[in-house]
Amino acid sequence: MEAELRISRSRLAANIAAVRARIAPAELLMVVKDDAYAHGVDAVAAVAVEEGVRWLGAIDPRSALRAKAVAGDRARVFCWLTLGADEAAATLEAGIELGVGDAGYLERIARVARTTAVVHLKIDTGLHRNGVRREDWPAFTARAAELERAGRIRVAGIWSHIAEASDEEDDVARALFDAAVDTARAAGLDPEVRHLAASAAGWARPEFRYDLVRLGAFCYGIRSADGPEIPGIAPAATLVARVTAVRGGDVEIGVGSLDGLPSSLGGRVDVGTPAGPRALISVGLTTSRVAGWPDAVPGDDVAVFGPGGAGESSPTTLAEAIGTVGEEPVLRVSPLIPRVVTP
Amino acid sequence: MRAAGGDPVADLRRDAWGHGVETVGGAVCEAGIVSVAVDARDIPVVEALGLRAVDVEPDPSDVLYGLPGTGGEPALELVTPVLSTKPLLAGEAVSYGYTHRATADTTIALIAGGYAEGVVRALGNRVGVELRGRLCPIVGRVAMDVCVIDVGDLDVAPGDEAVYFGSGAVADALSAWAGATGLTPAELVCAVGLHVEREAVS
Repeated sequence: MEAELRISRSRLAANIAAVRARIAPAELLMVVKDDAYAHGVDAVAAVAVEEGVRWLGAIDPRSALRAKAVAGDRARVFCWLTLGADEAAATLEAGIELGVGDAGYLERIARVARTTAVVHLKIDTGLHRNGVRREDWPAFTARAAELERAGRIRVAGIWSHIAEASDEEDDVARALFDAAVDTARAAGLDPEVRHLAASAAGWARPEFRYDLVRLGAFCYGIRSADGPEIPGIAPAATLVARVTAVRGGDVEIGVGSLDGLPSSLGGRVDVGTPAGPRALISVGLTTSRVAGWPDAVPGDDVAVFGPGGAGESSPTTLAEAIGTVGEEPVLRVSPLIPRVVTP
Repeated sequence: MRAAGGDPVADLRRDAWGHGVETVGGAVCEAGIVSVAVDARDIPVVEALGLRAVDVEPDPSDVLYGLPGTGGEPALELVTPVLSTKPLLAGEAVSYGYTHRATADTTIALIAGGYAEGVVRALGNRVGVELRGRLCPIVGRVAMDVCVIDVGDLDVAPGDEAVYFGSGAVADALSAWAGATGLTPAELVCAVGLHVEREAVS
């Protein structure tokens, strides 16, 4: 395998700064799930806390635990997968706050917590994934208040997740969210933070920011599919493959579909070469073919996606060519491909 | 596996297409194949098994992994727990962009598996998973880490196991995945195998 994923620390820091300036006075909860969107959670969490980020979050406990290990007391870490008893206990033990969108899970947490468990209660505002339904919310928050009075839990936050289907539908979700916060307060809860929005709404719609905005994609420089370029933000990761052979007018590069490069991109996008953008002709199992350039030699770097310095497309532009979002081609990059952190 | 001329060369690159080079190498050995293509880091592993790592283009190896169209048994099964269940009422929608809307009251389950694990985003509203012997459709967009299935009147509890592909009614589901995504079964199974927790079974 002749490829690596280069992570630019300075680009990441600049993205984080742009996001924080945009959403202030709301605070950033930087999402570092799935090994920090495949960028490598250790390095990303370190940059985030150095930049002053005070909240990190991941759905998967593995990334949350790594982030907490890196951040220590410098950041609060939030984990929102519905966990079994043992995993919930271990995660709490590490000082992580849990997202709870299921009544059974709340009981499980209260049962296994050795000290007061810090939780964020999730209302379902229409997405119908994790989250307590509206009609069950009064009983759920009443029970949470009871557990809080008993010292089993402390409700630090109320949160939800919007569908971004349309502004109107998101406004409906926001009204449900506000009502849910009122219900929680009436039940005797006193949440420190409310968080509803992710990247797109957090950037574009101030009324969705509340106290915390959970942002992943924009921090990594991944703009929304079919969405605008975001000023001050560019991809922090560059997937670089080396030229492994020059054949006629084409070159072969050392990355293929088994490395996570979708074969459907063949014939649909350009990649960045020392001579600027060139067509990605086809994607094989472990190598791909790229339209050549004069003087191409084995060992030359080809950028498959990245910020555009060599004429390569952003991950989102690649994704749009095959009808998906920019996160997907980044997350598909094989864990076997080395991550290299650059200044 | 059969090669056009001479001994077959099994393709064990990329951790045996995400299946685990040690497990697959052992099976290849038992099948009497001696030559394999592997990544440099895995050469000691296959040599310890008595295999010969060769530096040639391997033979097509879909059959080794039992991928759709080869007539073989799938070597990899993708299983996931139900995380939670809840009612979904007629008219209510599911997941980003509200691409699915219930036509009647039903029950939905949140299951682990999203495009971070190789459950391709394009599969939403296109394929199903097997749960308690029934095929349950994935409804709405697949997210990065989870998706939602419609379980209808099935009696389902958190912890129940759903199968994406590799056994029973979804043995050859990778064929439907390929149709829905435009990706090949090899890259589909490899991305899953490299991203999830893997367990060798007999």
